[in-house]
Amino acid sequence: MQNRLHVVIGGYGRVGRYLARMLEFEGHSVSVIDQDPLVFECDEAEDIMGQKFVGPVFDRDVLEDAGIRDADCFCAVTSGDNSNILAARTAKEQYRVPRVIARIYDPRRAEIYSGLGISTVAAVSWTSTRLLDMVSHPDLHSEYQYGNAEVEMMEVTLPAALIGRSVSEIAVPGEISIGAIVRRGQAVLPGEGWTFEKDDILFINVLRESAAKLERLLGLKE
Amino acid sequence: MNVVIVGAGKTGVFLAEKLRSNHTITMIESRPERAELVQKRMPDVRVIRGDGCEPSVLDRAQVGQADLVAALTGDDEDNLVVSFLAKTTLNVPMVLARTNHPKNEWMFTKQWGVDLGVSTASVIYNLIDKEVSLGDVITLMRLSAENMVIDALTLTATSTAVGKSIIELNLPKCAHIMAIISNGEVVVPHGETVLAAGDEVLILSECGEEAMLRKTFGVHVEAK
Repeated sequence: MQNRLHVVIGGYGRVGRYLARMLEFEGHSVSVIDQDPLVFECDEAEDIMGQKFVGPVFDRDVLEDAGIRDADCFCAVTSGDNSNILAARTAKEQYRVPRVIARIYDPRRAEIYSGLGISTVAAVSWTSTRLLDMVSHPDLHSEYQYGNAEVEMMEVTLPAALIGRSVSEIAVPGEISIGAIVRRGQAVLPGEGWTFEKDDILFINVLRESAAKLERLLGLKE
Repeated sequence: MNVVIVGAGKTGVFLAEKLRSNHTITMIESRPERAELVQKRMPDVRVIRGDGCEPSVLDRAQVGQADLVAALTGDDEDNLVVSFLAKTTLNVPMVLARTNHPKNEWMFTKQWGVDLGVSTASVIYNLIDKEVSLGDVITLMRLSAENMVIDALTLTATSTAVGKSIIELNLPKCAHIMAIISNGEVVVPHGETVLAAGDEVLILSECGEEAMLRKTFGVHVEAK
């Protein structure tokens, strides 16, 4: 198992709760903070082992009680963008927590804040982008999103028309690059002069704006 | 000046009413009824309906062209985010922010784009805490920009400054008398202004100069 981390989570709503349970499942220690004492009421089976604290998520006393001084990571996931950024900056700048992550709904604020050394999960732009992709590029399956989904990794089974064609035909510098190919059940990184084979599964990194171009290169769209 | 006030509560509206004859005022208010009411009451003030924490609303209110932004909502988190956005993304020269909860005062600094944080609770606390020693120096507010404070000092009959003019006081360079409240009237002081017992003197000075001020004004503070 990797190092056991201490993670402080600000906000115990759906995400905070789910995240806390996943972290504990992976063997990490968790403490959670929420303004509302009622959110901590739940069935024993659903409960977490970590300690729970009631108070504003950016309150220094509450953060210290939750072990912010020894925390490896702080996640701000309350329903309020303002509380999240206040708490995140406090964790980062007052307590020098090595890894600080904030969920920010407002896309513009998410962008501004990410310049402060705080990783932001831009919930609205991320979700909308995913939805938009599923609507406009149904044949491309996004496996992974880098950053706030400016670049995505798509999983595509090789279209029959491309069998025997050069791998380099799919690459567009600055827009599209082949990450890995799974060939006969084994992942490989394509080398110079490679050609596609039947049943290759391609993992392609693509700039969001170039998704339509990728569809054309793969012959999925006219 | 071009002034943007965020939050049309009692404080915001009071300020707008005081300032609107001499300055261009824009107010940002998220509650629709409140925004409408304020607009009716002050037709010459531009009222923008929206959340001042959203960059798009700040754009709509042209905060980028403001000389001063005052974040006066009843929510400290909102005030800090407004200040931060106004200062760091729109380069507003002067940002004032109101602290509602004294426990949050520590955040109202340059780090959040606040040039001047005003905490009513703190001012009152300082007044109460020091009430027993009339004539002492009371810090009204701290100017985070320059490490300066505004102190208030009430002259008692025994103060050595009573009967002296301001020139005669020989104030050091690090302190400046801003105003004197004499018999309930605000007097803009000049060198020849003579101080009287009961005058309240407002002084802009560097932090930690209270002892010097006590000495200069000859106010004797009884040990508490």
